[in-house]
Amino acid sequence: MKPPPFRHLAPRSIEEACDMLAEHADSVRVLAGGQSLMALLVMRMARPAVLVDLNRCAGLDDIAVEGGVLRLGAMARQIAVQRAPAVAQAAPLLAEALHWAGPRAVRNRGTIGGSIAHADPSSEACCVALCLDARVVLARRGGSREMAARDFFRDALVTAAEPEEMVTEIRIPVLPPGTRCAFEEVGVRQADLAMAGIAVALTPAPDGGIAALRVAAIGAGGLPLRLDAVEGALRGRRAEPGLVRDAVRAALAECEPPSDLVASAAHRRAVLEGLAERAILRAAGAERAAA
Amino acid sequence: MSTVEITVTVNGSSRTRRVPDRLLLADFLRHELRLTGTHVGCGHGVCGACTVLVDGATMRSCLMLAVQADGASITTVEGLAPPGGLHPVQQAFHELHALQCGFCTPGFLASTIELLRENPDPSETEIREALHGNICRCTGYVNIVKAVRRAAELMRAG
Repeated sequence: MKPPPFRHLAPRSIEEACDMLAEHADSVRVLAGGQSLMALLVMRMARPAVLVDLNRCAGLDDIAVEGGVLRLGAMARQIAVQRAPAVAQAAPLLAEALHWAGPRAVRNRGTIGGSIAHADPSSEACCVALCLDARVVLARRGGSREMAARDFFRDALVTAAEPEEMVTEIRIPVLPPGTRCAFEEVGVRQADLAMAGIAVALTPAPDGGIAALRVAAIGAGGLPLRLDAVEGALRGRRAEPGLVRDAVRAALAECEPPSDLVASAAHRRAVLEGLAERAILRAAGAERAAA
Repeated sequence: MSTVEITVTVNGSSRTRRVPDRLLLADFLRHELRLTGTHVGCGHGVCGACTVLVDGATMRSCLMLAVQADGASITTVEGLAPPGGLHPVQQAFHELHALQCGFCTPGFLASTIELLRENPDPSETEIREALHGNICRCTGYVNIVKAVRRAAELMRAG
């Protein structure tokens, strides 16, 4: 058998799951869709004594808009999130990005909460969560807390979740009316791990300028990052190709993209420049300038 | 070692076994049920060879535990064909020589069946997109894409 030995626990409720996590906090992992954790187990890069499997846990897969917030249960499958009318209405960027999240068999099983909790540097869901100012709800025995995605992601594969905590919900504020989104990604193959990716949400002003802009990147650093400098430089301006290109270049010059077997830092930066320019202009409804 | 009794419907028959917690679904199918048509290629969710239909949806059986399949209905490559015949997707793969060594074929068949159920007339781009999680190391993709189009015709003709 490939995975190391573990005890498999299958709680039926969030309370039961939290009790199990508290009891085994010294060596426990939460198992959601398993599209990352199962691979880590079979490669024996993770060796928890106990797996708390949420696949039979009730009340974790709702997708709904309530009070101006899109609420995604942690165990909502990626394919369900991608196709949910509530997501199309409240956060179409997430549906567009999840198209890139892996082959169909992976999206059938993989979950939104699992993607967020795993905090993979190439994760589309994490990039979109940052871009859309998502909040992550964490439950533990006797209580829960909520924090901004920006604070939740600490480093590659590292989050603010304690061992006895589990992600129960992702909350995304409904996009302001008229907001347009774009997601662009490049990998070795389509829907393979992202080498570089850009998520954009742009709210136009009545005069055709940019009222609000949010940009997040995969591949600009060790984990997905918000490109605050681009947002600041373009807010209140018009999305003109030269201006966008300059803002993107200046922001990415300050980033430290990783170098690995797939791409050097310089190549990643160059690809990100192109993707960011394309995504911002697409969200602004402008054609990309001829190179 | 901790074990659990599970009952899984596989290719229409109910199968009950006591399995270790850590037994993978792929190994359950192959070693416990001797359904060796489900092939394990990479063993960590990259190649798609072990893809099976779980309650009708494609899943990597190397990234699922057997205990997670308790109560589920699974279709493997052994369960596709009617007695004495071939499933239209198998028929099309056969006619168009869409396999060379055949190791990846069971996974391609499962992904194709899911695609054609949702999209009875896919374009070449849609086919390539739907199959990008299945790797053929003989690189016979051209004939695979042709076969999926042929399978779509066969299935539309009923």
